[in-house]
Amino acid sequence: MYKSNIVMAWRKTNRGNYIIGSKCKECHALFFPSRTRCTKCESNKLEDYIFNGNGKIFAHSTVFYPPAGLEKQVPYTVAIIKLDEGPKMTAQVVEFDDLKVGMKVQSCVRELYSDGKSGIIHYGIKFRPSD
Amino acid sequence: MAGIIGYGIYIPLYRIKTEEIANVWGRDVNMVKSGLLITEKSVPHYDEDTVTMSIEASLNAIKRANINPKDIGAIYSGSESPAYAVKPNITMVANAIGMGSNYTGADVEFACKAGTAALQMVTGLVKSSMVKFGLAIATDAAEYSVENVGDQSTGAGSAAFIIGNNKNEAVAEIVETLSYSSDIPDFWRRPQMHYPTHAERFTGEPAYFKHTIMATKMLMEKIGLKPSDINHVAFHTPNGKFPTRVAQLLGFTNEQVKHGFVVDRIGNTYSAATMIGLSSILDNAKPGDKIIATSFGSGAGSDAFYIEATDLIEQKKRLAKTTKEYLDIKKYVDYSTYIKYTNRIE
Repeated sequence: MYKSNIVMAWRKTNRGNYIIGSKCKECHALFFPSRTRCTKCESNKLEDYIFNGNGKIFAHSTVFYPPAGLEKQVPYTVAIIKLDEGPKMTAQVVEFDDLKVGMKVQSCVRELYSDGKSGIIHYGIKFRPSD
Repeated sequence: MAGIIGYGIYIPLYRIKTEEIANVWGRDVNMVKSGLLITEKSVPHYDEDTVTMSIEASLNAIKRANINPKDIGAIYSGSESPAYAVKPNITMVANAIGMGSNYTGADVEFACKAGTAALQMVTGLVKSSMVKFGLAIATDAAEYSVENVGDQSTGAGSAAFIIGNNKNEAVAEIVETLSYSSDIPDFWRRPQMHYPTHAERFTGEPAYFKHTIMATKMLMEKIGLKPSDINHVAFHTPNGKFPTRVAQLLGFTNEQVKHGFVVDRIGNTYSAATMIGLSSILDNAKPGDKIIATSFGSGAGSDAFYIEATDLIEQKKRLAKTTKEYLDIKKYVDYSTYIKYTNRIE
């Protein structure tokens, strides 16, 4: 059974289940995940930026041989999502019939996995087809 | 005053038809359908639980309330299927919807009326000006063991109501609420048991009907209205038959019941049932409409509410996904998928 580090897990979610990246205060470039230095203008003046959770499928792949902890979710699909604001992120996609590149998706909070029957439950961001 | 500033629901995308379950267990499909008046029920995806469903419903309520989540000072959640036995759902929901940390709250348990108990608590906190806004959540993804006929009716869903004291922001005013309770062992689940037990027909007359009727009659007497004065009514819906019969016994017509009756398409959503019914009514209400909602929770008790829709209802009902949209957008699963999605494969 996969057993996570509770402190690491808490650090990831204790600011809400938002898609939080960063925005350069100088050139307004957006990044996901967060950065401490802008790769466009080299500035180190960046601030948190909350993405709106909407995007499009950029690429996707279905997993049949999962890592420990995800055995009962097989088959599940992981996609690279191009967010409306530009940056890309990786997440599971659920509730689709025929997933296609370019399909509009929106984020939702779902259970990602749990540390067995007695451990903590990990929640996080997945995507589903847009309403 | 206390008013509903925003409301929202969530029903999972997936459904299973009554005959799909009945056929697996060799039951007479027509008998099951006519006995329960349920044609299909909602099925949570394997990664959905009362936390994720509460987040969805709460975000819909916030859209209608159009407030900063950090202004919500209280959050109470009623459920008999919380994510943890010990660790509150509410802190996970509050974190996810951006409430910050300046709030009070608790997870509440009273079988199927825990959600309306949460609504009463929040209403009291708002009326006493202890908080500016309060969030009451009703949520369940309850289960019976697979071979139990009760598994024909257990659905999943959530409802969330944001209560405030400014009449100019409210879609409906909670004019009056009261409860009727007594000690009845009609349905229970012991601490180490995964599935509940119910006392067969004992759940009907001395439990559901007595408490629902008493609470509703006491409320009608207190507000001085008779059934014909009311536009819409919602009852707890353990199946389709009980609320239909209790409405008849109390003198309400099918027309008054129809908008609050969704159990035939999603099954019994336990704590969430009455509040999803009330949300459906609000989706269809007109300004000035008079609404009665009476829950029932085994053990046992009923909370009754008298609510009047305001002029804002027409404008705010469109700000989030409606009950009809959740009912209409669905995908059917077969029995094997249902067992996988409800995490019952060891």
